[in-house]
Order: sequence, then structure tokens, then C-alpha cells
Amino acid sequence: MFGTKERISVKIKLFSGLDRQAKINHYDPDSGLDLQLSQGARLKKVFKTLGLSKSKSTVCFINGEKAGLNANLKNGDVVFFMKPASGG
Amino acid sequence: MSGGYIGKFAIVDLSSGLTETVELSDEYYQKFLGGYGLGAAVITERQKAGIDPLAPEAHLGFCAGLLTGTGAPFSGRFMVVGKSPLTGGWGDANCGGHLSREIKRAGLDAVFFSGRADQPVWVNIDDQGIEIKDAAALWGGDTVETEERIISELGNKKSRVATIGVSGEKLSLISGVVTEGGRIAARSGLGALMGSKNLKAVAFSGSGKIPVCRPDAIKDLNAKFMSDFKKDPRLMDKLSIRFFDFLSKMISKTGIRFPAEPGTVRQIFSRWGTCGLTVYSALVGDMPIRNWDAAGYVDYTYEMADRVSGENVIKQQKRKYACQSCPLGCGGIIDITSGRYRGTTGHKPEYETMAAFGGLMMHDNLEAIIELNEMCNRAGLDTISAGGTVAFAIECFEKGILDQNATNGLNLGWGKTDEIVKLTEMIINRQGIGDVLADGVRAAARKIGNGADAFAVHAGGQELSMHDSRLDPGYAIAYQCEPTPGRHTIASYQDADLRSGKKLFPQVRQMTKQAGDKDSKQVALHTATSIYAQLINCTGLCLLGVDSLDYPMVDYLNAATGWDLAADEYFKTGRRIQALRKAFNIREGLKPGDTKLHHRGLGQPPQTAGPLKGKSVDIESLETIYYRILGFDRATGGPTAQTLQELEIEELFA
Repeated sequence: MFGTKERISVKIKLFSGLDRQAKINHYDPDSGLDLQLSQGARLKKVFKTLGLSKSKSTVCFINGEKAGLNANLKNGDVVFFMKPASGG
Repeated sequence: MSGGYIGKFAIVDLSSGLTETVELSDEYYQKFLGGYGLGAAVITERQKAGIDPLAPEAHLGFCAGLLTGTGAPFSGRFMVVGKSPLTGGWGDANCGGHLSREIKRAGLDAVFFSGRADQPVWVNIDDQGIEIKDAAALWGGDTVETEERIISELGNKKSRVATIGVSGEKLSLISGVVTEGGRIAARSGLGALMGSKNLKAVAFSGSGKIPVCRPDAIKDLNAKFMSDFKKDPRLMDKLSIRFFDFLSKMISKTGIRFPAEPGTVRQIFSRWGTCGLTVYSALVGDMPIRNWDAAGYVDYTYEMADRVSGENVIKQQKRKYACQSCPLGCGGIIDITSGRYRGTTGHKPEYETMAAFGGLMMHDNLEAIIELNEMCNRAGLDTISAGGTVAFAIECFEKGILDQNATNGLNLGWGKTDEIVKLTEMIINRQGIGDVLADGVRAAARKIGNGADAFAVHAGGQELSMHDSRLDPGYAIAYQCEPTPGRHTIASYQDADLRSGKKLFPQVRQMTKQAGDKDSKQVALHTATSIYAQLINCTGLCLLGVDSLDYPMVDYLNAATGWDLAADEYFKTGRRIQALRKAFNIREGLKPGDTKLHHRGLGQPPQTAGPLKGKSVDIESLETIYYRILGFDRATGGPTAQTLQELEIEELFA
């Protein structure tokens, strides 16, 4: 409709302990979080919404592929947030 | 007085039943510490060169760490040692739990087995001495049952048991030695060496005191260490920043944005264990996908990785599990809710297992991976090599090299759970094609022929660990050049940033300074990390523990032993042990070409999509620098005569 911004829905999944750092009330690792954002929203908007500091070491993947803060989100995207660590 | 060590080891000749106890000088411990350092020195000295590793004359050792039982944190590991039947060179495998301390409490730093028993036996070692016992009733049993039956027979819950499962009995070259219901000294195929001696298990317990030269100094070190470890959040900040600074470099190469954040390493290991790293590794290119031929996120999608996340593993966790003297506690006992072990409990799978039975075979059925982990633990099969071998078989099937006649009707394919489980069972029991595969990919490829060798991903006969050397070229050096090829628990570029020993050892700073260009500096740090790893292993320390904070190793060593040696003296000891293990390989006839890393691990050709797109490793150049720094001969891949002399081990190879 004219004058109304369309909304998109993205799913957020938090790994490496970010569930305890994000400013959210409840996090279910199975279902993750469903966020409603404005059309054209970028990844940095999700950081803001979750209360995660962009200056901290968090790596993001959109549908599995690494993505930067300015990456555009589209409806149905799945975004993984995690901290980098490998080994074991 | 000195401390840390007991001062003697025993050799049990299983052919004659005779036992010899050998006392060692203080100087011997200064030269070789304990663990596989002591093991390599004793075996090099006492075992004839060039023998078949499964011949009765071969020696198998169980060696405690020098710091084990001294009160130093993270010091509870023991090593199983011998000539590897899998690689034909030096073999060792490292394991946690609580057994290491019992070796020393029983009055020994190590015990070696030679000969071959006529019938299956197990051996009990305690305050009363060494007793060889009939294992007819235990033979054929799995590792969990065997351990329970031995502990029940001894009536001593403090006894710790190291046992082989069916795979070791059947001389599978990818079998290991298991303790505490699923911790396994998995690599190098030493389960087969134990099986070849008709030795089912060894139990250790004792009430002996483990001498410490300056117990008060250990207490003081512990007080400071634990206070840092537990209370000071800034420590965790420093840690993580240290960790992340390196990762930021690594990740920047892959184009991932990287800011630093505190606390990750410890948080992940203590909350999930190593399986908490699975998703990240799958997406960034650390986890090898589809037998090293496909790409993270492109082929092994984020949905697949998410299904096998650490979060999903610990949903079944019943309790956490920590090894002896470990404040981190990365282990966990889980409820097994499906498959043949439904209703029982077992160890949660490590990252290596999640990857080997996950991304490596395009598989994402977590319940099945848990079942496969338990099957391997109970059979005493190395999950890394088992996963690598199943992936190899699947690829051979996909490429038409194996057909259903060859696979006993199994219609193998990537990610097909039922077939993966069935094939693993066949490998364990050496049934049909499982008999061919039970000795790992190199041996299997030789038997299968028809170009199967192209899909046998290994170095020196050992299946590669689950860290892609195209992402971190340090792993390429480790896989190809270390004394035990194909392994991840020595050094990598990531490890180099975590624990190169730069702060501890002036020699490391000098090595880096002298190295020259940027690549050489990186290889110098990697080499230093590998040398430091010799000290970590031989003292019985855990890599995960040492990786997670600055460990005052020299202080602990001096407090425990009273040697009061300078840091660089210990560093030289690390070089000595490294050179000794490599010289053992030369003595056994291994040449550098024998441990060549598979071309997929080098990115030859590079991948065309995914996180490793375009990446390749110039191993020739890295290997040259690595050997030069170590004082090794490029042509033999081992120490020069001059290096042997400098390190005072020339007599062992005279």
C-alpha cells in the first residue's frame, strides 16, 4: 500500500554464548528468534535490535555465508551470530 | 631431592611372563621428562630397528606425564607409545581421564609390554606389583564392559583401566586404547599393537606418594593460577584477545569481518566442550567437507551444521566431566536416546567426531553420530580415522570403484545414515568390505586398486584430522612433517598464536627474530609451538588447558622437580624429544615422501566455491623452512648428525 513500508522476517540463531550477551528476554536455541524488520534492513540493524555491540568479535553468516555489517537482508534469511573459535 | 617422577619403569615380557624393573637417573628425566619422551627413549634403546610393529619383539608403553599427580592443573594425561602399525614410524596417542596418576601411584612412571601372551591376558599393576591374569572371559567384550568387569573383579573403584575393544583384538590399524568408558588414546593404531600382544587390558592403582620437590611452591603457583582462572575477568579478556587477535588475521584472509571479544575459548569449552565449535568450523572452512572435496556452507549447508551443533549435543548431557586436576571440564556424559545403546549413557562426541561422521560424509543425523561415537568408543576405534575411512569408501562407491557386490549389498552414498552405521559396524567386526577398510584408507586403497588411491585422504597412512590445512597452512606442516603424521594436536598457525611459548622461552623470541621474511617468521612460530607441544605432552598437560591461558610451565616444572633450569633448557629438551621421535622414523626407514599430505589438503587444485575458494598451500617451501629451523636434513626429514649431537641423543642412534 502506498506510504506503508513493507516488512521482512528474518530468523536469528545465536551461538558461542551470544544468547547470554544479547539483550533479549528469552532465547530458545531450537527455534531461534524471529525478527520483523523494515524492507531493505541491513545486518547492522540486527546488532542494534539484539543489543549486541558491533565493536565486539562476532562473526555473522547469512544463510551460511559470511556477511559484513552492511549486508542487505531479505525476507526469510537465516542469520547465524557466533564468535570465532576452532580446534578440539 | 628431586621430584615429579617416581624414578623407574617396568618392562613386562608377555611371552615369558617375566618382569623387569629399571631405575632411571635424574639426568634421564632431565633429558626426556616423561610421557612419550621417556617412551621414545626407552623404545629406541630397547627395540631392534626395522621390526614389524605387530611382531612380539615390538614394545608397547603406557607413560605418565612428568607433572601428573604433582598438583599442577591440567596435568592428568598419559600416553600410549610404540612403533605405529598404521604409519610404520613412531606412534603415540594421548589420553585424559584419571589413569595417568594411578600409573605413578602404583610406583612407576611407565610400563612397557614386549612379547606376546599365548592366550588373552590382562595385567593388574598395584602396590603389590604386577600380575598377569587370564582374559579369556574378557576377550570379545567391549571397552565399557571390560572396564566394569575388571573393576568389579578387583573390588577397587580407584583402579583405572586401559583396554582395547574388538577393533584392537582384530588388529585394526585404526584402533586405539580406551579408558573411563570412552576416552581414547586413539591415534597411531596402537590398539592393534596391544591386540597383537594378546593384551586385553591394563589396570593401574596404588597408594604410593608422588614426590614433589617444593610442594609449597606448587601450592603458591596453584593459588595464583586458580585465582586468575576463576576470579579475574580481565584474565579472560586477555586470553580471548590473544586468541582473537590471531583469528582476526586468519579470518581476515577469508574476508570475514573480525572484531575482538573476550571470554570465548573458556566459555565454549566449559559450556559445550569441543563440540561447541562445530557450526563455526563447518561454515568457515575449518571442517573438511565430503572427503575434503566439497565446501562448507555451499555443500554442507548452515541448516546441516545447525543440526549437529553443540547446543543440540548438550541437550542430552546428564553431567559434566573433568579429567584429573582439570579446572575447565570440557567433557560430558550424555544420555543416549536412540540406536543400539538407547537407555545407556556415554561420553558426548568431541568436535573431531562430529566432523568426521558429519561434514566429512555430508551427514547431519545427530542421533546417529552419537551412536557411531559410542560404537567406536566401545570397539576402541579412532573416530577420526573411522570417519575418514567411511568417507573414502563412500567416495569410491560414488565414483564406481566399489559396487554393491564389493560392499556386501550396501548402497553407499553421502549422508546416508543407515549405510554409514552399517559400514562402521562392518569395519569394527572386520566383516566383508569392513575387513579391507579396518586398516585405514592407505591400506584399503592398495587392496581395492582401480585408482582408489586418489580418494584416500591421509598423510603417511594416517587419516587427517578435522582441520582443513587449506584454511590454516600450519596444519599442512603438522600433517606432513611431524613425527606422527596426519595429526592436529601438535601445532598450527592458530596454535602458534595461542601457545608459541614466546613469553616463556627467550629462544622462541630469538627464533622469530632470526627467521627473516614474514612466511619464515610464521613458520618459526609454528615450529616453536611444536617444540613447546613436546613439553606439554611429556609433562602430561592438556593442550586445551594450556591453550586457554598463560600456563607457567617452567615454574611448575622447577617446583615439582627442583631442577631450577632456565626456560631455554626446557626448550632444548622439547627440541630433543621432537628430534628423537623424528630420528626414530628415519631409523625405521621412513622418507619424507612417505608422509606426503594428500593433494586435497594442499588445495591442489584449489576449490572453486565456498570459504576455501582459491586457496592452496605451498608445502614445499613451508617444509624447507620448517626443517631448516629444526636443524633437520631436508633430504631425510630428520635431524642431522650435528643436531643429534647437539641434543645429546646421538648414542641412541649409533
